[in-house]
Amino acid sequence: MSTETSFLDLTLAEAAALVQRLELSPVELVNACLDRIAQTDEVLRAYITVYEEEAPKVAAAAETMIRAGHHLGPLHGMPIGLKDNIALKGLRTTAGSRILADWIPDEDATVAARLKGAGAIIIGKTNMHEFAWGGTSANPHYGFVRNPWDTDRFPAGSSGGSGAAVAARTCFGALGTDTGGSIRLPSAINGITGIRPTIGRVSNFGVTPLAWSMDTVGPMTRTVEDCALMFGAIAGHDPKDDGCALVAVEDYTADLDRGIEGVRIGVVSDYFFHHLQAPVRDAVRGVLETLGKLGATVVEVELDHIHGNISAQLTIESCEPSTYHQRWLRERPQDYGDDVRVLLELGELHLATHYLQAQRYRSLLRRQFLDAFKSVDMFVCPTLPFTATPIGATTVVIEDGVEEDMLAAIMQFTGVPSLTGLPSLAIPCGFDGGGLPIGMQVIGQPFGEAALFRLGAAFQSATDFHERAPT
Amino acid sequence: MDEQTVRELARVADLALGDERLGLIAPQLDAWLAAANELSRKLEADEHRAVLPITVFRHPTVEGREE
Repeated sequence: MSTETSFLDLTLAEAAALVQRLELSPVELVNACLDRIAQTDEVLRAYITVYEEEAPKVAAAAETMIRAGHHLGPLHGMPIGLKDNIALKGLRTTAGSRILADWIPDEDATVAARLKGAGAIIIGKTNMHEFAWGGTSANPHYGFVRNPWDTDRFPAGSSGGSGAAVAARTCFGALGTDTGGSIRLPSAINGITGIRPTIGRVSNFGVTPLAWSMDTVGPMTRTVEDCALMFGAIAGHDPKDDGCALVAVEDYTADLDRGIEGVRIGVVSDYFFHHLQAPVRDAVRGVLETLGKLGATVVEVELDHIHGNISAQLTIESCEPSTYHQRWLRERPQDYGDDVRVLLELGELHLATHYLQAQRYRSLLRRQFLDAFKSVDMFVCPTLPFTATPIGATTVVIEDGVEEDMLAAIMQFTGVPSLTGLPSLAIPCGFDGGGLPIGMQVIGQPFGEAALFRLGAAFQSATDFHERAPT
Repeated sequence: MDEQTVRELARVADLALGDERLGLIAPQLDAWLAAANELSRKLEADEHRAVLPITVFRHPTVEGREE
């Protein structure tokens, strides 16, 4: 490779192949990423901690292993970011908060341990919405994360640091966490790919909780292939997490080139294409046309229970975090950012019946989706109804000049997989008139991640949205 | 939802809220609880009487029984 820039424009899969053949050194990769972080992060604030001293040492060890004939797989030597609510042994893990500003875990999160075991090099801990409770990544303690496509705009969240870090080519992939959309939203807004797994597919051990019944961990990358590679490394049963399923892990890259001839795509038009900014509507309509040309069939589906999902989402995502934070909210309320403190106080004031009705609603909605999967293979919809808003905005205009609360508006589509526990892949699918990325979401069957990657790979083989980079 | 109601709810929850917090919480709580009540009305329908909360433990012995 001739220049540093060319390293960083490679996909993870491309870089990994060069590293395996000893044509590219992990040390060069890590140093290039650290240089890029130094150039960009004063503005982007995508990282809370950067391992400037540790990462090159690990890279040198990784290179030594390869030279000795011990290649651990496609993540060996790859610089990866971790959202800062994922524990790393001996290294502070803040969850984007002042409350945990000095917390040093004594054990790795399972996903971190698995990445390390696969040879990945953790280059830094990424910034996030405080305690993952919010969708803007406007963090009052570690800086507002900014969108690499337009630094006056937000990167979404809560994994906004991971999204900005990947889009800005400061790492080859990152882990995020997703409760109500926190992987998929920043993936869409930053023009990258990310997956929320099936509930129970990936261990949550060592991850600071937001809402126990909906929390997940997943990769955020530039391409579907990269996402599948990272996903394969972190998926699987974990005896340390009682919620983790004992289901065999597939080779998520095996079918990426199989195409989607005959795949049935479900669309709920009265919900998926209702209440959207026009460029988002046009982009996702375009997705359906592209998928049709690739051999898929679009099937209109009625899911009448889908209406009401935002309220259920907000109720559960209020009550569960407020339970986890109950002591700190009473002892250290001043240590929370203004927005998160209000949300945690709100969650204390719901009734138990509200919470349980919301949990009953989840059963209802999940059953309706499972019934629908008898006639379709997956669903396609927008990831969110608008493109990146200005930094600091708490409202958004979607249609007709009406200002709406950001939090409810941003969950219009991402709440559905969160409530139903279904896997969901976010993929870039267009740009608005201002050059801001638009994302689509593909919702699959339980443990059907491989099918989502297959469709995503087919889409990316026919489009170039994922190849574009912020300047 | 007025601030007095928020104060009373917080008292029941043993959550000390200063007067300055009440005005921040009341409008959003009003909107969220209205939506939550609407969802409750939906779930009260006879057709949904057998629906269990998704967090209830189940031990299916037959593959696919949940579906």
